[in-house]
Amino acid sequence: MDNTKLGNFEAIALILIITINHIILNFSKTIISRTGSGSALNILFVGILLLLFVELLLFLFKHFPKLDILDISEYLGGKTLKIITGILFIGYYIVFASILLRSFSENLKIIYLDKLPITIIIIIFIIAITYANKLGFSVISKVNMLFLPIIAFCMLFVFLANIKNYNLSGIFPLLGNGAQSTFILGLSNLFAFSSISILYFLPPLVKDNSFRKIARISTILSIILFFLGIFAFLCLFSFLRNSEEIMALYLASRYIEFGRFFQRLDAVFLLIWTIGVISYLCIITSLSINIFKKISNITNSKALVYCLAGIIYIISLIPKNISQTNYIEINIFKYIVFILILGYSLFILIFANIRKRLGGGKNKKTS
Amino acid sequence: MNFNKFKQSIFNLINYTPPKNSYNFNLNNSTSKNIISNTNKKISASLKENKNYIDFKYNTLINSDIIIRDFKLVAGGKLYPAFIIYIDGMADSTLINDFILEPLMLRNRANMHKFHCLRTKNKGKKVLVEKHSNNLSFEIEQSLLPQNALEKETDFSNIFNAINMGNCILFVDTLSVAFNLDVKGFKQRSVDSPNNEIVIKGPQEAFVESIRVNTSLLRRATNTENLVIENVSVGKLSNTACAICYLKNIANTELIAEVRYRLNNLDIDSLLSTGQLEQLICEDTKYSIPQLLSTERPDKAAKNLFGGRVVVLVNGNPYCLIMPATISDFISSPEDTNLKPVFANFLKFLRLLSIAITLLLPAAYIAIVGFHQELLPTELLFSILASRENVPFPVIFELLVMEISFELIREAGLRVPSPIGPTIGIVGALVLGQAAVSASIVSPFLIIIVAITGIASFAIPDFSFGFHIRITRFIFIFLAYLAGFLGIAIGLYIYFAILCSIKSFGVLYMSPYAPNTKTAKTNNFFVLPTWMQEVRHAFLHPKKAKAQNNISMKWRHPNG
Repeated sequence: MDNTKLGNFEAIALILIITINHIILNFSKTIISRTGSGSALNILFVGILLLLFVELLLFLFKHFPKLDILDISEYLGGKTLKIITGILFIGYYIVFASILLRSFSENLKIIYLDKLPITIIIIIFIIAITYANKLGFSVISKVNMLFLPIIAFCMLFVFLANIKNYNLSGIFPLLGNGAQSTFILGLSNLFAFSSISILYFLPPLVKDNSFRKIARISTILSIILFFLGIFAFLCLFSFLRNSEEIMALYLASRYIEFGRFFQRLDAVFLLIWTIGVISYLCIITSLSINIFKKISNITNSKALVYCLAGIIYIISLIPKNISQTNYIEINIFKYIVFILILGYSLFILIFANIRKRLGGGKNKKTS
Repeated sequence: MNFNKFKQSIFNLINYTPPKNSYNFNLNNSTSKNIISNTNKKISASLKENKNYIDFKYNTLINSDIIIRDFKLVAGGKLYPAFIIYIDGMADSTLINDFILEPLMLRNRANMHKFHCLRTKNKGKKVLVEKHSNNLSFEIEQSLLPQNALEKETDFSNIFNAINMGNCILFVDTLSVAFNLDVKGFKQRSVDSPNNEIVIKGPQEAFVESIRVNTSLLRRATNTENLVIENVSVGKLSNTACAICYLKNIANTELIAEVRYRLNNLDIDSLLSTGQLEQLICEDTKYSIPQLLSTERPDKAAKNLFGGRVVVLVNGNPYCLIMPATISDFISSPEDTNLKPVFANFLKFLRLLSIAITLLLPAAYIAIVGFHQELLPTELLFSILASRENVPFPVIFELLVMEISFELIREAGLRVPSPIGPTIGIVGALVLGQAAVSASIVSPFLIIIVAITGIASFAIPDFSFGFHIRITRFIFIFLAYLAGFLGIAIGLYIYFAILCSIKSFGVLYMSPYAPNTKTAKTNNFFVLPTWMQEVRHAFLHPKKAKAQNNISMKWRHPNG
């Protein structure tokens, strides 16, 4: 990673941009299709569980100040575990960044770039990712910090400007498909908050004592944003199906009109969200590069930028159509989030803590 | 004979004659040997040797403005061969006549006495001390040259520098030193009002070409003994005098050291302008983004000195460089300080809008017309489409034609003599624009877009930054043509990433926004009331962080 430490706002922005992109890229639609009108209640319930999970993470990280999950893996299982953890995270980030890129590009193609081949649309994004990543992680986090308020404001604006179109009956019945669906089956909606995976890599990047503050604030803001998104979609659309191809947020923006002059502002929002998606992709690529640097000890990462950009491009072209990308997003993504972020990484932290308590594995980094 | 002539003329008429060899000059490699420029020679005690060396170095047989005046110097009643050298037009001949040649050549009490009259420590009694011939240089310095600025030189390099600056040099036989006399008298522009950074309320003085006049303007503007003006010469051949100016009690020591280091480590032959220097000392040279602030106003330079920045003056240039610079400096105008915060902030908002318009309006037009027609109300869309109905060219061609024409008009308006300038504007804007619309080469709506963009570009206060925005606009036009708002979004992201990556003398260009530093009680984008401007910019790490007390208006809060 770059030697410069991230500021609190920069670090929070890193997590929030991922949450916002998940809202833009139809994660809320997936939640609604599973839990129906109970989604608002479900997201609050899941949010509380997430807060508890984050508190648990903070407790587990307490004994490993300034160490990320890779360092802790090394402490627990040596270089081998560190490399396994690194590869798992790189795979997770790259594959799903590619799928989300494909999904967004397909949306753009449907909305207005119907004459441009999908390969060209994706390559435009890849050029931006490559160029920005050559400038470094620190630059990407700064740009993200600059754009995040605008992107967040635009999203909130879409929610607020649509108030007159809200139909509150959309959130009723509050329990949607039933208590079991909302609270038990709906637990799988935790996947929407996969942005917290960044927390595993934050401790060495942020200033002393600010990690806890950053983790809590970013989690609470993520929950609020998701709740607002779900609430707005429930009130706006009588039903949302997974087969719906266009982004729900884009559909919501099409309802906005101010007088006779401003009747179709969706293109402006699309511009802002495109910046958001580029920012998200750049962060994920940069994070993957840094993980690779850490597990391989390479010094010059410039060439790695081209490699990862190429891999993202190839993976994003694998799905044959938008239905396949949706399928991967809905059915595969959530299980991997559960296994990797909520399961594997948590177990590493727990076992590392146990080992620490037992006094084993004296390591330079942890002593 | 006549027959032969006739025969020849007939023959010439029908026969082919090859063209005569015409004059044909080609510039080839110089056949003469490179003259080794060694000026590190020491001054000799032999006057003839010194003169021969100067004749050789200055090509005095060819050079018409190099004046060498031989004469006999009278000292201690003796005559010594001597000569002075100066450049005609650079030195003041009255000063040379009255205060160099006259006291040295004409016999007077000072140069005829063989004894020094000295006062002893013992009750101030006067005693006479005999002058010795080896004290000749001492006597010339102490008694014969009534000059306030006199230096003894032993190296020819210093001598040549001094002559080129307009000084007069005195060589005397038997002395291995020369006297460097400051008698500069070249014509120079007087201090005038600024040409390019005009303000309504505020000082109306601008820098001139002379570095000394400029340093005096800075001295007057800062009015503090803490102002340090260090001299540095840049350029192996030109030896251009530069001055590093800073307030020693405010500016960061490492910043000063870095400026000094960069200026002292320039291996170039000549330095002629601040623009050249800016390119030579900037961190990132591959982008067109200006990274140093340039101003012709002493008050702006002084304001930045008080803020903890360093100012560099270059001899021969009416502009100074201010470092480090951040993006908000390029949106600020000297007028901001002179206005109430409400007015200043309104103007700043307008400038920000003008930057956005210059950068994005033509690109947005291309994107909307090509990809996002739904953004426009139906009536307006019909109006645009109707206006484009007779135009046979694609919108990108139409826009580029108009944008390049506008740039041509602007460039031509700058280059033509000033009386014709407005005519170019009228012909370009009115006649050409109207004719282009009538001929269906461009649509009237596009003329409006180009005109608004052009007007907005004039509202950007910094010339270099305005130029950068104008150039970058073409990249956005291309991106918008390629992929509409997607192209613009990509362009904006990369542009901001570049802005965030640039540093100006160790300070990030987007400071204090990215990285986000504490911005309270200091001017950033928006101007605070004067009483609230309590601290200097944290990103400059000044020695003195506070610019004023928490309560600056003590008359209002006497107990506070």
